[in-house]
Amino acid sequence: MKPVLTVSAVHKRFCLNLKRSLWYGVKDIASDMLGRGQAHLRLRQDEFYATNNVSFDVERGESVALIGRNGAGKSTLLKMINGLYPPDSGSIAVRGRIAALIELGAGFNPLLTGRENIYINAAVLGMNKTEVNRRLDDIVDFAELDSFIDMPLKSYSSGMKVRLGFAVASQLEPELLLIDEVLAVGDASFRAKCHRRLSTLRNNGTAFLLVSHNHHTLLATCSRGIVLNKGQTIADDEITAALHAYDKTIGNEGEEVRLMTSQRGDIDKTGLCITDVYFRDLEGQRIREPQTGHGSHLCVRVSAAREFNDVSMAVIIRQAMTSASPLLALTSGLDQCWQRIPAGESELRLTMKPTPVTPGKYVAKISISKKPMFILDGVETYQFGVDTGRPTGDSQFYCERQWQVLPVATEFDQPTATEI
Amino acid sequence: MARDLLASRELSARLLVRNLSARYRQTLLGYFWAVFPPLATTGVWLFLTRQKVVHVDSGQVPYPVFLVTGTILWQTFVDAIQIPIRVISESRQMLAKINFPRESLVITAAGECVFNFLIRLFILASAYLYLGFVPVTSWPLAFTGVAAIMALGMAIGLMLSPFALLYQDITHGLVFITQIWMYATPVIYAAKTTGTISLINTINPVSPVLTQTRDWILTGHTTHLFASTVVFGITLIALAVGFVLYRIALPRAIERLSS
Repeated sequence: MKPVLTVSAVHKRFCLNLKRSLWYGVKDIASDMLGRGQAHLRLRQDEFYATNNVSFDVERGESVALIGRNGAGKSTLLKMINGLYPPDSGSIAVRGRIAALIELGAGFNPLLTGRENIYINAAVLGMNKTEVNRRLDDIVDFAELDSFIDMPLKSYSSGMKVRLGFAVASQLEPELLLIDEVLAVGDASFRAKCHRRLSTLRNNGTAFLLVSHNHHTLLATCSRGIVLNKGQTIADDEITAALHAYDKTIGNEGEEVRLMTSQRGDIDKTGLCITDVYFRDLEGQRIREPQTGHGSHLCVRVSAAREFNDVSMAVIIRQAMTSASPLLALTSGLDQCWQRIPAGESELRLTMKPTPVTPGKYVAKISISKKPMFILDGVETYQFGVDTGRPTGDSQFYCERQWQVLPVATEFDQPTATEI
Repeated sequence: MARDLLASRELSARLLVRNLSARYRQTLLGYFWAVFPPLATTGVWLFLTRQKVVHVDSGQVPYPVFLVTGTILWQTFVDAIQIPIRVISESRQMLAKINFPRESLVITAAGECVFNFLIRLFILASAYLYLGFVPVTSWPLAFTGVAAIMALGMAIGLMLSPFALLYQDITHGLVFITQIWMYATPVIYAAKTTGTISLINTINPVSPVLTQTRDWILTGHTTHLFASTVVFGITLIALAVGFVLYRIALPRAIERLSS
């Protein structure tokens, strides 16, 4: 199948001087009208390349991060992919429906009610009335607005507006979703909800192209990163490697990229929150990736406000970028291992001896709950890789195995029918 | 292009309802503001002529009837220029961030023009009733004239709107230019056949269309029918060019907005 997005050799010029920029705009319109095109790619006075010869593909269901400093060309690229304006040269091909979470609440009018604005915003995003009618309850529910829905939008808090905007936009089910910095909205619990909604979309096969400056968001969401610097691609790699490459460009090399999952706010609600997820080898050394066939601990660092009894940890591991059923679904409660977590910091470990999954990219969903089924905290997507360890061939799983040659026993060793 | 127009019809309807219902929600007088400008112009000129400050010859038609008809037709023309520009400028944030069928803004603007005209039509009918004036039998033909006036205005508005996104000068300038333009058009006076004013009226494309439309209501004369038809033909071409220009130029304007 062809990739959902192909960007090839895209250039875009921008001008630093406003007056001159506007004038170039008029000139470009004139040359477009005359059909002369933009083939000549000379930089005019005060111009620079906002994107310079950028090429990449995004496969179906893939999550790709666009990483770079302010002004590196990320948003320009997203806008061109979204079709807001064409590149000066090069081409962009999108195969399938595309949606963008770039501006939440487009077309909102402050004087109209929330309900009226839902219909407008949805129409701007390309949904028709029957679709909205069908999803209205979901939208109001998701935005947590109920009684406010018939009040004018200007009486909403900024958080409420953003929630409404996200609730409408997230109803779209595109093949490619562009996201620009909008995930840093709302309070912690709403953010968690947004991420859950996005991971549902991802499990349904939506490809993501995400711009964010938050490493943790990127690590938790993306499997691949493209690093832009001054309009040029300087790295296109697996996400942790890409983030390292980015760190080099901003000169804070060496800082370890880790996953920060919950906000401190959550600890107030349930009394427990997950602060980190990582792997250790059987010697207890922290490792970036476990190896197939070698033992590993999946470690979940938690911070508890008080002591908890009867706690169960569940880990569901899927292959990244597929909507296939889980490879592993392990719950300590099902194994009758109800844990006690003391107040303070602890590390919960799932020891896999040996690590059974084959080398590749995986996503783990981790949740910690208290008997009977009260969820204390969870991580929706923890992405990790598994490195080549012991050979697996074409197997789906690593199998701990022995091969033997034994001498053939005599007939007296065989069980006889009479013994049964 | 036609497919895009069709696809954007629901969005256009939404945006139109939004604009209309939001426009007057924060006002005391509501839709009164849609009819106030032409009424005010009418009032001022009626006062000036009654006081004999100026003398206007409106032929066999009573001057108040002539005046109110002319100003309402003129306001329809000005609307058709300004509303597309206003709608597109107000959507600049949305244009810079969201990919939606941009034709919908044009349809929305056209819808607003028609809506405003309908309100004014009601005022015009009330005025005729009050003044005891009965339009001549050719009055239904005036609707084609109104359509031509709107089309002419929209064509100008469409061509200007991408540039109005780039340069605010256009919005500022239009307020002033339409004022002057009104005096160059036989709105408050009857078209002349002699002098410099006749030359101005001849080269002014609104002039024959507006005069003919008014004549269809007031006198039934068809002296400007040929010129109007020529102008209408040119208008249709201009409208098509304006639409193509709009499609080509708008992305260029948007990239300059957001850079």
